[in-house]
Amino acid sequence: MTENIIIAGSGGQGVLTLGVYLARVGVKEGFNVTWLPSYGAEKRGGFSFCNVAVSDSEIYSPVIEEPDTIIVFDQRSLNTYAVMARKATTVIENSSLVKEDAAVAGTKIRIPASDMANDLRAAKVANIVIAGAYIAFKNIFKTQTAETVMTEMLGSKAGEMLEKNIAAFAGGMNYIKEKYRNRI
Amino acid sequence: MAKERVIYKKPESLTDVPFTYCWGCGHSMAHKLIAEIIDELDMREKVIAVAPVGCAVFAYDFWDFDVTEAAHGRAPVVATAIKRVHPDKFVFCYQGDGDLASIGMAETIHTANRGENISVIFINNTNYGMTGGQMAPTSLISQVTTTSPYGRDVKNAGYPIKMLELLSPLQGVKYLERVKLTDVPSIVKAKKAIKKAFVNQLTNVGFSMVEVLSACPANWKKDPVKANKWIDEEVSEYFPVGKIKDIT
Amino acid sequence: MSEKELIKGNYAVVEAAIDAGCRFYAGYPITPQNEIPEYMSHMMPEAGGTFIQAESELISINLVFGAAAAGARAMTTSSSPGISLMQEGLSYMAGCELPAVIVNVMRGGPGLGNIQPSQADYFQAVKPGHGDYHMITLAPHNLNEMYDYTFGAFDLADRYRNPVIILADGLLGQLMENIELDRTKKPELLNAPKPWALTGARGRHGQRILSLLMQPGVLEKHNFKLKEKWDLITKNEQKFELTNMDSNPDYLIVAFGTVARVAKGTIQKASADGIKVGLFRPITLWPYPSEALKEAAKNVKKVFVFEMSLGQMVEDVKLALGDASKIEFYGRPGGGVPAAGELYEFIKKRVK
Repeated sequence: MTENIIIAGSGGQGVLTLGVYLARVGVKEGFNVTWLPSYGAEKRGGFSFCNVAVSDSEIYSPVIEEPDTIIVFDQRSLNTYAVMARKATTVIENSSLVKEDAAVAGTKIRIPASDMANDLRAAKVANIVIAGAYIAFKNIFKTQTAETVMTEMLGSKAGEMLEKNIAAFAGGMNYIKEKYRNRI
Repeated sequence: MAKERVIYKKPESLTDVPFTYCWGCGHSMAHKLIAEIIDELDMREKVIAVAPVGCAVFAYDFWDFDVTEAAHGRAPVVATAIKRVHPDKFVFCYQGDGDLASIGMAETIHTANRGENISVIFINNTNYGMTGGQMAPTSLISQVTTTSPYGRDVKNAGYPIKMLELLSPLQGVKYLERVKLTDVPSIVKAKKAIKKAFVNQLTNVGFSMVEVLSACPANWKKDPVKANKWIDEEVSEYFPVGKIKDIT
Repeated sequence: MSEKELIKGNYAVVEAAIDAGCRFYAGYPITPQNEIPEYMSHMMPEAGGTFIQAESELISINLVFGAAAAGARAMTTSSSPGISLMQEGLSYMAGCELPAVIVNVMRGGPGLGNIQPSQADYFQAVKPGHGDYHMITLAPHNLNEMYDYTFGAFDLADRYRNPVIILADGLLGQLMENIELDRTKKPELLNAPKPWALTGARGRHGQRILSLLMQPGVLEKHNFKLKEKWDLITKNEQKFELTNMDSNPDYLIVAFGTVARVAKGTIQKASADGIKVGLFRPITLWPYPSEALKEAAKNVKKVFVFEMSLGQMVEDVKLALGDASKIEFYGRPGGGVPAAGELYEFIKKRVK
């Protein structure tokens, strides 16, 4: 099993954190994992992306050439990465910030993650809404592992923040289970 | 017959190698004063010194304690690391004006600013001695050197740098004094100043530097007597001797 | 006890140094290695060692010089332009026979270049600054090796009293990967005496650490003495890895570090098309495992040398093989990271 994920958005949207989160879930399930961020000057307020590779065999290049999943947080990211999508690729769009009309190769999943996060009065958890959607749709990682890792990562920030993250995650999962019932 | 009595002997901290410096050069006296003070403080076995690049690079031939070389200008940095690794040892660096005030300016300032608990002996002879008498940052205005044949022109080369005055405002710096070696009273004062700088380190006071106005008769093209006279009349006019800072 | 951790390459360097008994670190900020001084500023004081944020790379390397002269296990880290500034100090350390570990997380150049991964400092690691000297140079290609090679570098440095370079790149520095850390391993020479170190002349005459040897003939002798050491290192320390050589490959890739890792993907792609390709990965870039390379290349039709530069290691490959006719070079300079498919396309066009 190999799952290559590209995540892209803008600085502050939690792109890198979502990548680390999925990487840690992968590690917990016993896979080999690599996480490669964009780094340096470009990360300050600008473009943000990372590559996450999860595999049961050795991972050679951490630079992903053929993504199985592309997650885009905004229009600019979709415009940049849509070209990498193949027939077998799942493209997950934050529909709050990505227009409806963009055609991409592969399977398109749209979820209004930013709006759902705002409804929780926690704009920062849009990435966790997406995480829930990803886990539900791709069905590679166990939900329970994902929840355990979330608690671990929040650590001392548990409490209200943990509750909002759990709600965001569940929101993302339920949205997919409802809207994409026939596809999962 | 009266019993023989030792009234003077070579310090333990000097080797048997005779000084090879030029006639009238200040290094020999400065080396000896340092060796005497180290003997007086009974600390030869805990000294680690850093020699510069310049005439005094050979200091380790004459001193009988541990010495390392350092790249040109980097002596205070090397001394910093040695002191951090061995806080119980006594660490000093000995540097000329080309080393300390020119190529090593950044090293000097940052070491001083960090307030490293080391002692720096700064030999200012207003030129690059080892390489044959080129202009140094400390060369006096109008001083003729091999690279300022018409005299130091401030329009081209700027003004002589007063290192102690430059370092004085830094809060990490505890003690700065300028001395000369032109006669016995000034040598006595110089020894006192160097000893104070050394004691400062032993009592964890912090960064101390003594600038020694030192004759370079060979490159100044003056005999030793005239060289000392030049220090008394011209060099110390621009670089006044005395305490520049003392918050010990 | 061994644990599997998701760790960033730059952090792995810090963990390894602390575990190896490094207790002196000096560094200056430069991307893409900033996590090393940042993490070190937490870890080193906790370990009871000295952390100094140097005010330049010149100060970094000379602090390391001083700490090494005083007998401490010392390290500095930087990226390409910063390593250029350190070359003076490295030459002095080699001349003075001082051990230390220097990590270069390479970025694109020349000049200020960029902060993307690069391998264009091969020359300045294995064919460094002024005077005749060498530095043992280790090239990790994954994060286990970032840890292991850094850990082992301290023993190598002490064994030969010589600087050791870890030649990584921005990708390996920034990458996170889950690695198996063997925390039970102990550095071999951590407590080995260093009678040459300056610790104060207790009950003895003063001793010196120097590279200045002015009398005619003395420096020449010193250089010959150093050469004996280089010869010994060359004999003892060559390391390399072979991949897919059991298949009797028709073609051989030579690559180190990140590119070697990418090349393993290339081999897989080629193999799916029935093209047998092996990989020779030098782990020590100095000493270069020339004989082993010659052996590996003996029966292949072509040797593909891939680097993230305009071609630096390829010179050593040519020297090793003595015959450049079957060597094909492809390089990505200025921060470009080749993809496995890209390298395969290059090979495909050149094989029948």
